[in-house]
Amino acid sequence: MSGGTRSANDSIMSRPVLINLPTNRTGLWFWFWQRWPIMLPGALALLLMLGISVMAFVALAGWGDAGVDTTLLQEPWFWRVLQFSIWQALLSALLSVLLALPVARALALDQRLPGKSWFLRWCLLCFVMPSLVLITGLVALFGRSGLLTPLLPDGWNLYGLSGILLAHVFLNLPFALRVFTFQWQSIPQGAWKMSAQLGLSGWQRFRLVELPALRAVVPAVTGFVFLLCFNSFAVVLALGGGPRATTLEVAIFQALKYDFNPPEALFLAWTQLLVAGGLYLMFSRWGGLQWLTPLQPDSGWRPHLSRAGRIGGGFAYLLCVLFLSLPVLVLIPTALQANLSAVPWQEMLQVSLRSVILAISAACLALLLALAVLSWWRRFASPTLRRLIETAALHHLVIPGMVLSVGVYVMLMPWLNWQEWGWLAIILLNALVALPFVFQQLKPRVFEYDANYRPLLADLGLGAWPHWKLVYGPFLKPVLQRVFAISFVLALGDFAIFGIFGNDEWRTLPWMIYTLSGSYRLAEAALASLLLLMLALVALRLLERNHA
Amino acid sequence: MLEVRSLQLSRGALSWQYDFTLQPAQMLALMGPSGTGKSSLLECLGGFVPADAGQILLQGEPIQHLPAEQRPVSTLFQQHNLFEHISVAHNLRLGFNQGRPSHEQWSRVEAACEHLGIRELLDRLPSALSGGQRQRVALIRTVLREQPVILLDEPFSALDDDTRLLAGQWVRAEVSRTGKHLLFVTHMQADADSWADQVITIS
Repeated sequence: MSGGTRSANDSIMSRPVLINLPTNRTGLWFWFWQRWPIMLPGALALLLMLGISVMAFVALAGWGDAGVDTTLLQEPWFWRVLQFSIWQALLSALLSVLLALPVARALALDQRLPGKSWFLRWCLLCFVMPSLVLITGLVALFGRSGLLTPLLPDGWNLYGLSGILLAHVFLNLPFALRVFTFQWQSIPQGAWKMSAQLGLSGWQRFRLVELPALRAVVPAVTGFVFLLCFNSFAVVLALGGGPRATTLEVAIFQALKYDFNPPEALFLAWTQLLVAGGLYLMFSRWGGLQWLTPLQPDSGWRPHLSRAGRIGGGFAYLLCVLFLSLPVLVLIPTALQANLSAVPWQEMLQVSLRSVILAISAACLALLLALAVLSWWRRFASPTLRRLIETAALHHLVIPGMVLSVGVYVMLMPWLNWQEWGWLAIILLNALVALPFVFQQLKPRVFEYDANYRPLLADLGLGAWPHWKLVYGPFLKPVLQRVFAISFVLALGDFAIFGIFGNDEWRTLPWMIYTLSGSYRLAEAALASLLLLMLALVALRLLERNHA
Repeated sequence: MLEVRSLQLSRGALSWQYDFTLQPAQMLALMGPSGTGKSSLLECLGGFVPADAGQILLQGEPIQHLPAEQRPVSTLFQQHNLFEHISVAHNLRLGFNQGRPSHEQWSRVEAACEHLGIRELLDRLPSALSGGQRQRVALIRTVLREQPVILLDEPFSALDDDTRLLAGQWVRAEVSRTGKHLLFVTHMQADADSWADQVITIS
């Protein structure tokens, strides 16, 4: 008779069945010893992720000579900064959510609205748009000699709260829009039909059908946008307008980079960590948000909108399209004003290449780390162990990039020359910042894979490499490409981490834009911004192609 | 020879005990109402459900301690037999030599596909197939895999009468040719009467 058993090594490499850990210590060691080839990448990834956080924490706790400067508690300046950080984040979140609601409703319910899928794709780009691109656009539109500035009231100043709000709403309104549109679209057709059949009024329908769907996401979106704005760095640094409009994140940067005052930076970083961490823990209980999915085709029956509702929704949509496109479109005429012979082409190309290499490295590392951690996560049966692994993978959400950067910077400063090795920290920290997002996107797909195919895989007994190459890799490929594209764009636009570890002789594209804007070379800054935008667009095009 | 000795299984408050012997090239039908542990027995033989007690012997060697991946068993599950994101041909190849079937193995697969009327579907994704077509694809891979024990959980449930007859004859011929041991769950008395050498009815 042909056949027989497979080799033990093959089966261990590909084993997709759930694992129950041995309870005694000898058994545990033996268990790890038998499986080290498959357990090693996950163990290294977890060690790296947790090690860096612990390192940052140890530094923040005042290890070495640097203590924490708690005298800042008596400084009115500190309270002003904290108050402004919260105030601008609150206003930005409320404005983003309130403006997104009517437009999202129009997008979901008005089947005659043109260009919806294009607009939602554009929203995705806006949400992950490198801040420096937007800031250049806003300066060209609303700056001192901006195109639209003559239409604004006297005394208008882009720098300060107004500029910060404009930029934050531009970056976060698209996110809120996508989440709300998908939420409205997910209302079952049966609910719409029943409300029509029962003859419900518009208000009754809103209260009974639409509000319950929205109630699930509005607080979470508001909280998430608040946290993003609270942790915002580039926008506040560029548009903050001095000590009256500074956030904790920028204050940490200034304390470290310009004043070189680690005790002050450490205290501010702790404050930032406690507030941001507390907020995250609070609203992470409100559930996940769907924002990466493409717009569903307008199929099925939708309620007839009143004439006023349709016109109002259409008008809100038009305003939103203008608001989200003008700061980018204005870059084209601004860039055309550049004196082409004075543009540092050589440097711009070098800087672009450097940015792309750093972003690709960070995105690859984020993917590898997430896959390694997931390889652990999917092998354990215990819910407690799985939760622990998830917490390890997601904990960087609670630690803002600036806090992590400051901690690592201060901790390794005595041993590492950051002028020389800064690039390594930039790649690593950008990967860690993207990791929670990558993990959260990959986890449901891996869960689905295991839920559907675990018995079949055990039955087929494929080896590790054939399993990856023939089945697992192709299954994960669309989501891997999607998260790679988003991680790439996020790392490409990084401003905060580079701000700590980079230097002027070794710039990335966002810092080049910042420097050009700072020296009033707006046309050249616009040109560099367009270049950065093109790179982001290429990556996201990859994403959308895979959605199609 | 496959021997199942005093094999005790339990699921919740229910428990069953099995004792039977199956000679090479023979087919055993498991019959009985839903919820009487037929699929649980197949899952236990495949290594997916632990037994409370008893032995499973193949050629005199106990196999009940082997994990699912190492059992000399090929299983057709009630569902999720095909990876939805890869083609039918790709799914079929996965059953042989880590996804790289020999020329001879692939010729057998192609002949079986021709015989069961799915030859022209090899390039399609499983989602483009009907329930009956999917079942035939999975059946071909399960039966042709080089494992001495074959477990089929309702293998003909999605097939029309003509295809059912064709598939049953093909399975019977393959088992006779290769000398494998085959157990299948069915609700149709006609299947058991036509193809089984032994029938276990669980009440």
